[in-house]
Amino acid sequence: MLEIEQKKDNGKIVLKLKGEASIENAEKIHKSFLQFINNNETLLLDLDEVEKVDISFLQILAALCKTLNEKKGEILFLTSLPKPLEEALIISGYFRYKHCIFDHGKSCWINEMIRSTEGG
Amino acid sequence: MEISDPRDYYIEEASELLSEIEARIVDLEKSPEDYELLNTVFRALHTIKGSGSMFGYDEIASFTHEVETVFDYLRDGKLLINKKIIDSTLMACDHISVLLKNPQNADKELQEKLVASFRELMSKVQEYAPHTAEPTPPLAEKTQEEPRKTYRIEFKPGREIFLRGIKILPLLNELSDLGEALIIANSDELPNLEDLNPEHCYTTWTAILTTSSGINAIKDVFIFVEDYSRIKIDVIDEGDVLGTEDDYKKIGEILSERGYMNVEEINKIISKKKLFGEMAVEQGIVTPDKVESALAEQKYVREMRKRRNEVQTGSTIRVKNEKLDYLVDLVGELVTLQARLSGYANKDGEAELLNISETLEGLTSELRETTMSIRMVPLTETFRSFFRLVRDLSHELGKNVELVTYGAETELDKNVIDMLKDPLVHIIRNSVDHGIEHSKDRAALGKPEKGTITQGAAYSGANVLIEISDDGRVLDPEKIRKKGEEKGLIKSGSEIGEHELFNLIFEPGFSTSEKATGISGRGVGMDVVRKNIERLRGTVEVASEKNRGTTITIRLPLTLSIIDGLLLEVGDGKYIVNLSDVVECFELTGDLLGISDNNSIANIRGEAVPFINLRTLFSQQDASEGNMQLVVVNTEDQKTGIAVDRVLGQTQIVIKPLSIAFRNVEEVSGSTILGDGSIALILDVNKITQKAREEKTSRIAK
Repeated sequence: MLEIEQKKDNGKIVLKLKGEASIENAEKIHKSFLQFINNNETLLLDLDEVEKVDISFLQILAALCKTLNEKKGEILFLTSLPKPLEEALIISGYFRYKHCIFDHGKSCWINEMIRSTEGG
Repeated sequence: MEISDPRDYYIEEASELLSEIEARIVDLEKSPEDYELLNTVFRALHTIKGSGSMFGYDEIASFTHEVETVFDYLRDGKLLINKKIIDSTLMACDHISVLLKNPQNADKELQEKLVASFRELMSKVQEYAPHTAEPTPPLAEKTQEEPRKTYRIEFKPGREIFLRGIKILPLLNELSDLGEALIIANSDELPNLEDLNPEHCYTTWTAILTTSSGINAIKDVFIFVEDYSRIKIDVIDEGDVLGTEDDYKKIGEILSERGYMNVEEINKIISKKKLFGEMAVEQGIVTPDKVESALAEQKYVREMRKRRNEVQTGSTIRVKNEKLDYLVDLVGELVTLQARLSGYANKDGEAELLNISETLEGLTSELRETTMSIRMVPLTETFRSFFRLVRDLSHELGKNVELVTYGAETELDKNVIDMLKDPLVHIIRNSVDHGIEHSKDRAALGKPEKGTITQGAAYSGANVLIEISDDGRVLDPEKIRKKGEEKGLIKSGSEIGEHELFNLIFEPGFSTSEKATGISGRGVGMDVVRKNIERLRGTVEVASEKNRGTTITIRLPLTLSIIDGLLLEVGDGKYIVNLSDVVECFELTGDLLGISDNNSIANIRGEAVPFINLRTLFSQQDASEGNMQLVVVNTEDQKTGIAVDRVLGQTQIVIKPLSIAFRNVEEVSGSTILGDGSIALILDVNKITQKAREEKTSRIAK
């Protein structure tokens, strides 16, 4: 079960995901992200109520970040790192980007998430 | 049967494992001490859970996790196998079988009941053992089947693996559970969002795993995905070679070994004399992900080797007890000789001799501490043996009793542990026999049917505290008073606090039990327990409170033989107090005696500290010249003073037993030979404190 809510906040698009961000809903998530990548906009993601995460979701997030970076768009995370996502990042080995030796800058979506977490 | 869906494999394998668990559980009922049986059940549950999670059988995975946790505690000795666990596990097997084959028929109520009963077991262990709440070590840490090796596992799942219902995260989790693991996700094949098929897997993984589980255990993790993935497992560190250098392969070697680069490309980059990884990425030979992954492997293995070499440098050897005892004796002699030399050097005053004496004093002190630390062993084995004792006793008495332990890692001198066992056995026997009630009686009192005995240990300064408590019936103060009066231990109608009253149970011949049983109460009473504990220079106390149960607290010194002491002088006599008990020393001037009515309470910075004058205590008639010195000691968070003629200074001493003449002097616990050959008596600070407090109380009462 996954709900995707879309709203505007100060002119920016906010996408809130609630429920299971897993393979069963991968297509739905993919489609909703695709709507925004051509707008050269800042996309605000709220993942606070995500309850379940699997590799398919990590891949979608990574691909979204890669694409927005190429299109000079931006992805910002509104909330702190939710527990299921943090666990998935650790187990899957995606978390190594936190200590990435290359300067991914804004293209490193995990660093972005950690920044938003640390920033409150 | 032709199997096409990997989930069918899972159902088949899980069913076989359930049959194995059932057979082993029945064996365990007959041989509850068989560790290998416990291990087999645990591993089978672990596989059912791990693979269940991998194939999306989340309910089976989470339910099995509850059972598995119980077996992990059993393996660690934190729980003792009992009929309830056996029955619940067999019911859990039936339930898992239904969840596997017929989930729509699963009895949810039964599932909740079983989970609640497993959690209840866990909560008891956690409640009583706050110090053991460390994360469970991975499976491989406990099995130790093969030499520890480090593997590089390259896992490239097929693109459509998600569509087969296979979940990767539980698989990676299971791999990590095999030992120490570094998982690296490589996402360089990941396309842009527009080209991404969200149901395809683009990520590949490199895992660096250090484990003693062996290559077959690693292969088992991938058993259900091997037909749809590329899996390559290489040993990159043998792990059992002594003196292996900390260093590890260069990045180029790792990339070449993994097949990302050839020798020609490597040489081309080396000739540029720049950072290899950066150059390889710059020239488009490998992706940043691949270099990062190789760097992670390099860092992991280098750190692992460094750690291993440190451990190997300090690896262990077995030494006979007698040799250790002899070593301690020799160190004792050396300490005495060093004290003699120190005394002589101070008298002689020759600079070079003083220098040599001081250097030898430092070395002797270090040698003493090292030797003592060799004799320190954890209480684990001692505590573990009581599980069997409680089980047998409770069966014999038809009671339902559980033993919970904490702090078993606390270390004590081996000789102390050896001498401690009998008193502990007696206390635990008493708890099972006289403390814990029968289930029926407990139920009538509104208590849980199963009684709990908790045994724990913790450090407290230079002492170790051992507590044995039970939630059985509490001590009856009236009964104890009556018995105490009958035995002449207290005067009839005398005012005595509950603490002192309860501690009458340690007096010789005291027993409130109306009938002796085969288990305890056969003449060997708590007085023997106290005598044995005091022989170890320890103390024992009891506290009992309605609704909280009874707790016996044993306080023991960390070591038996050599201590740092403070040398005191009173008249012609010399005395020692353990330096770790000393808080401060003062000259006993009129200011300090300001609030004292008869020179027995000192005013230390506004605090009334009772003190004992050793001159009075040891009947030294002639008065000392000048002011006396006050040594303030701290026991059980209370300060007490000891007034002496002079404080002579710090010294290392070897504790010797008391001669018969002093055996009845409660305030003295041992003796020692000083450097000049004279004898000093070691003061029992606990007894002196007790005496000072009693005198203070009686004065206040007057």
